Amino acid sequence: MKKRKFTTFDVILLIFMLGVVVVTLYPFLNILAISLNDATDTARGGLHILPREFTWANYEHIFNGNDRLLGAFGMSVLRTVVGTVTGILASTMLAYTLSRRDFVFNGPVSFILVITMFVSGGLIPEFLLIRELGLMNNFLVYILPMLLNAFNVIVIRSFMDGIPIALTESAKMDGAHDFTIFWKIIIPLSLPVIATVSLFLAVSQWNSWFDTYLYARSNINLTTLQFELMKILDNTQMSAGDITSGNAEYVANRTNPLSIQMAITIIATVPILLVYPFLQRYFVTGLTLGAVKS
Amino acid sequence: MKKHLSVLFMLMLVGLLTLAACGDDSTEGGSDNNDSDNNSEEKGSDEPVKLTFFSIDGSEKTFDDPVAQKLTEETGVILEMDYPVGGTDEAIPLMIAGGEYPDMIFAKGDLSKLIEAGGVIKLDDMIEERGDNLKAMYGEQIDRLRNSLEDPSIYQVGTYGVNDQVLQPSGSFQIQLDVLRELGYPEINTLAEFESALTEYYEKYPEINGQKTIPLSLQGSDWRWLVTVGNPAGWVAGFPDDGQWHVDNDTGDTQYKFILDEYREYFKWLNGMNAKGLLDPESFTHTQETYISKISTGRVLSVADQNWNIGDARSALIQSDMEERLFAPLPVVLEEGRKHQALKNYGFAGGWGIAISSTSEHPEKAFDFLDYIASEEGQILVNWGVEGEHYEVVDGKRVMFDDVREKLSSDSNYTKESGVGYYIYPFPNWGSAAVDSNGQSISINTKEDVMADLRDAEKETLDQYGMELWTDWFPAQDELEMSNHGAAYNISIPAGSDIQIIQQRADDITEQRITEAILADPDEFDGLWDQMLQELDDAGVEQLNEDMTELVKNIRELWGTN
Repeated sequence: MKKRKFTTFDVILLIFMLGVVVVTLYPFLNILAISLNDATDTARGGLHILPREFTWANYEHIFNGNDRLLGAFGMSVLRTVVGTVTGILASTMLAYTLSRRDFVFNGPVSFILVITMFVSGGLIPEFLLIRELGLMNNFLVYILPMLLNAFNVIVIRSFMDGIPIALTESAKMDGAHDFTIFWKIIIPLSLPVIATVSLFLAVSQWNSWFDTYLYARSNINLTTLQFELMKILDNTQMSAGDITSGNAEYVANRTNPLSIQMAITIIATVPILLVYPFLQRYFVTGLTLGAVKS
Repeated sequence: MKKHLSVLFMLMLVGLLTLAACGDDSTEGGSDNNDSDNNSEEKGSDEPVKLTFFSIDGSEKTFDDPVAQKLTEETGVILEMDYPVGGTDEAIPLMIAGGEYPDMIFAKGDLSKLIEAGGVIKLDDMIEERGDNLKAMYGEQIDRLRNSLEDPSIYQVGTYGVNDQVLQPSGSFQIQLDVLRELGYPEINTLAEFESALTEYYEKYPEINGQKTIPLSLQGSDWRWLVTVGNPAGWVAGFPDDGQWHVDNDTGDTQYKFILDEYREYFKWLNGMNAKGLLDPESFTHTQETYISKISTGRVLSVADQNWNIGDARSALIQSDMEERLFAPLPVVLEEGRKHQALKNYGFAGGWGIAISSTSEHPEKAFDFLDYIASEEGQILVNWGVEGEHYEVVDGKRVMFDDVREKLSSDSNYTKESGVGYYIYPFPNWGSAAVDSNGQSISINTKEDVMADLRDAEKETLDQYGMELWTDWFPAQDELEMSNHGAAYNISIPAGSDIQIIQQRADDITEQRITEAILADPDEFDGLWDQMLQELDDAGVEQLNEDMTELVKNIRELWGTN
């Protein structure tokens, strides 16, 4: 390959990209700095990318205040892994079925699917449904309700629509079953979109805490990291009780939730951030298809 | 490769099913245990009973601290405490939907939903039969617990102190100690005196620590608008805090407060402050964090705020050795003759409290627990802790151990670890001004303690004025009338009623228009204010006043204070 010339456009592009890096990185560094800064000192503001009075105290506060944190971390990882794998399987299977033009009930099934994107049952009916299904305090409550998400299915389906039909036809001629076609042709070709949707699923599994609160909080072994962090966060904030209890002065003088909040943010985000590099390569590769000659 | 994938998938499925089975087992095991607990209780053994308690203001806590153990010993009750994680509003509706209630519920304003759904029981009979401590505690004010004129039963007990006092007034104007020192400790009682004090100091010191001095800063960019912009107007006019209302204590006539002339006068003054450059121009745009950091640098000469809102700034000022930049609350009023109502006694507020659910298997146990907390012994326990562990009795007087007192004020987890002070709110409590049968304070925060907690700079300023506490500056509690309706903001407004809808509209108008008027050119102020009154009129404020008056009068009738 010939060495290309470094044009003015490249310079502008480089500066622009550097700008983007700074803009995206700064908030994160800022959060890190605040989380490592002395809680009282944080009130004075003016913190940027370096802590002014370095301390681990905020992290110590979080880890000392809750002995369930490690178990909850494990539960979060488990639900993320299991939820993502099962979720992606269910979504791709349905998406493939819907992408087949010879599927007779394509219209009605798509309609039922799409309608859930616009109308939801609401919190209380959902709660009652989960209870009637016997999913309360059961690990499956993290998995089953999140198995299918209309948006994800449609994303995968649109991608599969782009896979030439000639591929499946030729496989069929070679004697492959539908399941073989799905497993050996469709899935490998859909890796980019699978990676994308896996990321959606993993992030939403990792971040969700409200379902723990609603359905699983009485089983202590099932609480997740986000739920436990939420409880710690609640503790750092002044409640109406503190304000009216006559203890308000004491409480006001000693809590500065901002630093603790930021430490919680770091603990909650770093593990899931680590997933991104592993999925990155799929975003680049898969796009070079071209298996059919026209 | 493909084969591996399917194997992985199968493994995953197997694992999933196993886990699911585990989940089932453990919950069944849990309920089995509960059953056996209940059985043993019925047989009359001394095993403590587990009662679930849901508190909408609660926090993560187990019932195993020394105070809790003592409570279990006295009442035979172990509390399992639950609260809405993340502050969700749906907790009570979900409870009603599920039809499963904890034994005791502190639901605040959502109690009416529970009553409607039949989720809580009437307590009148139990109070009559076995509630001697509660009866003694509430005395005549027990009527304030009643639900409504149509249904005057009692469904709940507790939450606010029956006999409260204010030892640390705040919410109105607060001025920097250094301003008072610089000006030779003047008397500041009116807005005019307040303004000239700020002007004089500002002219002398246009900069503090190298940054521009801000004579007055407010925090009007979020909900705190109500705290730092709306409420100070009422204090300055010499009105008690009734939220967005002004109530005539003699007749019960209630008005939406911003239509009163006193409010026009106050905001006109604020408009003048802005025109003269004395008001922080960012007062309505900066975030809470910026506001706190401005105060923390010591360059804000005065605020109009509650202590609990600026606590962070106070800690930061003390930490960076700028005690002379702390604030003193001022009894500033519009003009001579008005009385600042910071120390007003609103009486027992009623309104919110702990209810006992209709599905509870041990309603008597739950009630006895609440009644015990209302006893003298119970109040001393929840306020002071366990004798010998947290305090000792010297010459017949309770003295808290020094290390306990120190930890209470410095260690944020101590209240939870020790239980000292944790079970006061929202349980029935005697209040901060109450005394026991020996005449000793029930609360650990006595006047002496507040005095001891003052910083040196504050003590020095108080000395110069010949005062012991900032409260000495304000008209004393017995100079002020006792409120006949509690505080108007505690009155629960029926959901979806005209009051709720019109008030929402009126609040939107006032917040926007008053801000506009403050920042306007002084010549335009009156025009803008009249325009706002017109808009309020169009929004139906007259009907709002009528409806709210009816609500207040109903309360007064129910309480027997009309």
